[in-house]
Amino acid sequence: MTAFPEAVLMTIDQARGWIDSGATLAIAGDMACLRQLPKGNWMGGTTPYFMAEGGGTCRDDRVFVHGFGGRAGRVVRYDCQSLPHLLEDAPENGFTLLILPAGSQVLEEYACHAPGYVDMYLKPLAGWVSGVRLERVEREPALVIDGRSGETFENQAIAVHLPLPSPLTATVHAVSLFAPGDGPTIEFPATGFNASDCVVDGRAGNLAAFMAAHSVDQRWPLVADYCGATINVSIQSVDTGGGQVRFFAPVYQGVRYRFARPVSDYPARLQQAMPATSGTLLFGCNCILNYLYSELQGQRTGELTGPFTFGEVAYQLLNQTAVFVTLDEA
Amino acid sequence: MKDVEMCRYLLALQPPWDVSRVRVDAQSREVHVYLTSGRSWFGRYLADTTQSRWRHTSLGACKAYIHASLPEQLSAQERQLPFLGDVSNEFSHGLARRVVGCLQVGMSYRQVCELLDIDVHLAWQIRHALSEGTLPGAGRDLAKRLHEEHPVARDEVTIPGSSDPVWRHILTAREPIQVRMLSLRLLLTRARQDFRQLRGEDARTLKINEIRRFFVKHEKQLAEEIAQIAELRDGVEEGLSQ
Repeated sequence: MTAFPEAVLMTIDQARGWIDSGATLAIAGDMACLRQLPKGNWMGGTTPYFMAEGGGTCRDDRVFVHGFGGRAGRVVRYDCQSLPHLLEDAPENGFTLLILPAGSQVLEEYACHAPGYVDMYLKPLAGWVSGVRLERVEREPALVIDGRSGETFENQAIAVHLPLPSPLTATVHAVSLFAPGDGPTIEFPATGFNASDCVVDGRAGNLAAFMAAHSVDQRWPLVADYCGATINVSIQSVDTGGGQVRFFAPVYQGVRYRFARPVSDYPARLQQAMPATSGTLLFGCNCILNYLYSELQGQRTGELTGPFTFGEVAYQLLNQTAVFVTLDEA
Repeated sequence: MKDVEMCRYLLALQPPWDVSRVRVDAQSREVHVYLTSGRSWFGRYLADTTQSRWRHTSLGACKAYIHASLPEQLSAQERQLPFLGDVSNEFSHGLARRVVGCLQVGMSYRQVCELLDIDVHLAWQIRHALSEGTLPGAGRDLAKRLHEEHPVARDEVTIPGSSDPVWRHILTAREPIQVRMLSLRLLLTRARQDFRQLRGEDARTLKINEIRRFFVKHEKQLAEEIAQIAELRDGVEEGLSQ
């Protein structure tokens, strides 16, 4: 697998040059950096954390640019009403990259309802959730930016729809190192970012109480098996007294979850887990929780570079997952 | 004239049908027209949750696709409007009538498919409907002529039609096939959850069409999965014959 040379962490001046060339770009960076960029056919989202060629890093003087191999795409903004039509705007053969701001209504709409959107799973779709420096989470909003106008948004999603000529095709991959543990199966009565009541191995219970009683480590996500694909839902907070658990992505009604087994030596195992593919890397991102819990500062993650993000999109919203897209010949 | 107005005119739409959006896909030379049937809620159209997608007669150099839901209250006559189709089919009545018309003036089926830019999977589906006698205006004589011209073999296309029992098996059996592609894993998981809860036969057919369309779209990447389906078909047919 090879990466396009322009999918790199770069200086503001370098990014200016790319934008001024007229290229279609997706840019990740601190808002102070993104605001310095000129108008052009680009979209962006906030995060100062990156998987760079040299390893994981946090920078407020660099932006990560995905250049899509110089291919031209169309940037479109979506609110809660228009987001369900996202894939109706997507090309029949191509790729859509989506950025959603953390903590927004538009993210909640997407997370809970995207699996039911028209053409979901039929057209390649990946993306990420923007955020802010962890010490500023309560003080600053996560944002997306429309590079055509320079406007920023707390409650809109932004996407670039990129058509591809046949026989090229984009393939979305998700790499999770987590596997279901040996604990009980857990089901939820409703889809949502919060849970109190649940069913543990067929018996009614409370998730917060279960986690306290079994000393569950909050770093390890709930894991569901989707026909062989491992889908993680990460724990954001546990209010044992109030009996509430908050997640970074919704748990779905009708899906069976288990808490994951712990993972050690993340960088080496990530490299092992990357599928063998001859395709060219079109996009990549990795979860901020992997950066934190697996201590990826300064650690390389193989050829996978891109932003560390506050949620990953491989069709649906995922957590603690590396997502990447390859360009293959069908 | 805006694109929505133009499509309304080209498709000869009458109320309650209207165009909600049009997308021209220049790369694949396709035009996708999304229709509503006028159901509204305080002035806002309700999002259609289950839509059919029918290939229609081409608009200029572009293949035309109609996306719409068929409201239950439509009369039998209204359901035959040329821009609509049957839930179980992936082609519109208008396209079917053009195919029948061309065949009736003496063209071969291959010539008709070339003329109307019909791909192999859709050609097989229309051909199946012709041989079953379910297309208006296509009598037994036409089906007989087609059979003599080119007998249909079951394995002529690698992806079975929507009516094949193998699709139901895939959506209901415990572990029907091994899947490698992430998008198909997610789609199948979602479809299998939904399928259990769907009540109407039309809704189940739409779900099968969605899965089948994924296989048609990604045929070259799904050789292993399609081979498993071929094996399953043999098993499912044996099961049905016993």
